[in-house]
Amino acid sequence: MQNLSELLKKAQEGNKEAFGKIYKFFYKKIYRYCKINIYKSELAEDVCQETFIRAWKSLPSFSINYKGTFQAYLFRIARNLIIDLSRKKKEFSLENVGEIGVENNLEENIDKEAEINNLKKALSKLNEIDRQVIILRYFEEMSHKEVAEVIGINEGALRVKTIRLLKKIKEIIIKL
Amino acid sequence: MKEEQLNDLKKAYLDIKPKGSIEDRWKKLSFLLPQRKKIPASFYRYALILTLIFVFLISAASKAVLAVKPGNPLYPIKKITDNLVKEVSKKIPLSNRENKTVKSKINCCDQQGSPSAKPTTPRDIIKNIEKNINSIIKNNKNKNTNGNKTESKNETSKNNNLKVDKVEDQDKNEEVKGERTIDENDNARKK
Repeated sequence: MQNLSELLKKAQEGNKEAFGKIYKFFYKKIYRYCKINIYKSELAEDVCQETFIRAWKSLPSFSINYKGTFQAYLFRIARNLIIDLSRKKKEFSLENVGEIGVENNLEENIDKEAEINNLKKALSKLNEIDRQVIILRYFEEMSHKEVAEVIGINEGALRVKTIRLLKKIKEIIIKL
Repeated sequence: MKEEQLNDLKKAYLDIKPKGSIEDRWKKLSFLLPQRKKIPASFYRYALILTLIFVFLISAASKAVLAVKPGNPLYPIKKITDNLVKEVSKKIPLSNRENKTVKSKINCCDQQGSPSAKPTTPRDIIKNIEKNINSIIKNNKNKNTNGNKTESKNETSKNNNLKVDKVEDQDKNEEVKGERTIDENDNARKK
């Protein structure tokens, strides 16, 4: 893959091919983030596509100096879309995962399905911001700065929060 | 144990993959993305040149309008601009220069008066200025009175000179009259 900043420059000028490369690079990450936050996989796909459309539209005004990394920028767009969707349709939010149950055709492998079920159950016991911190910091391995940018909180406060959350998630895992 | 379970959760998260190929999704999306219009670099050049020409024309027109005299069709424009300038100048606060003159006058007052009687309120400042103006007017009056005296002297001397001139004129007239009577008498004798 070409240098991301070069691709971004080209995409900002209106080069769709360059944006396609960026899309292919980030699509999986954004999809699983949407998928874990939204219960329905079709909706997750729609949100994912909408994220990239919005990113394309707002790309000319994007600046790494002012808006941080492009990855954080994409995740922030996705998060805002997920929040909007959860306000509109509450039944698709992750808080209701225990009540509705897990989608049958989520994965082919039954073991994997069980693991994902456990993951969703564990995450559903956290509040929205804590869940985002765990997903972005521990699962996506993003930096504190990037996570702070996505969630919109202070970096220092986030560092303190992550230590506390790690203990909390371990306690939740034991109970599962 | 906890760490392993946490790692399992992480693996489960990373195993989430979209159905179908990403390539197909991109093809679908690429049609949905709006085409961005690219502005050519020459556009900015033309825009800059046009703005410069526009500014030049406006400055030239404004200068030409200022020099217009009544009767000219552009005179109403000049009137409007003058009115505008007046209104704007009213809104502008006192300039530093004016403030400086007021301050200098206040300093003068301070130097003349006692140090304890420094003007603090605007009324005091105005009073001091009035006092100064009155003193200046008085000085001027005194000068005028002195000047009047000298002028009166000059006027009396001038009047005297005029009187002398008048007497001389009268004498001349009388002489002329006398000569005329003599001539008339001679003519009568001849007849």
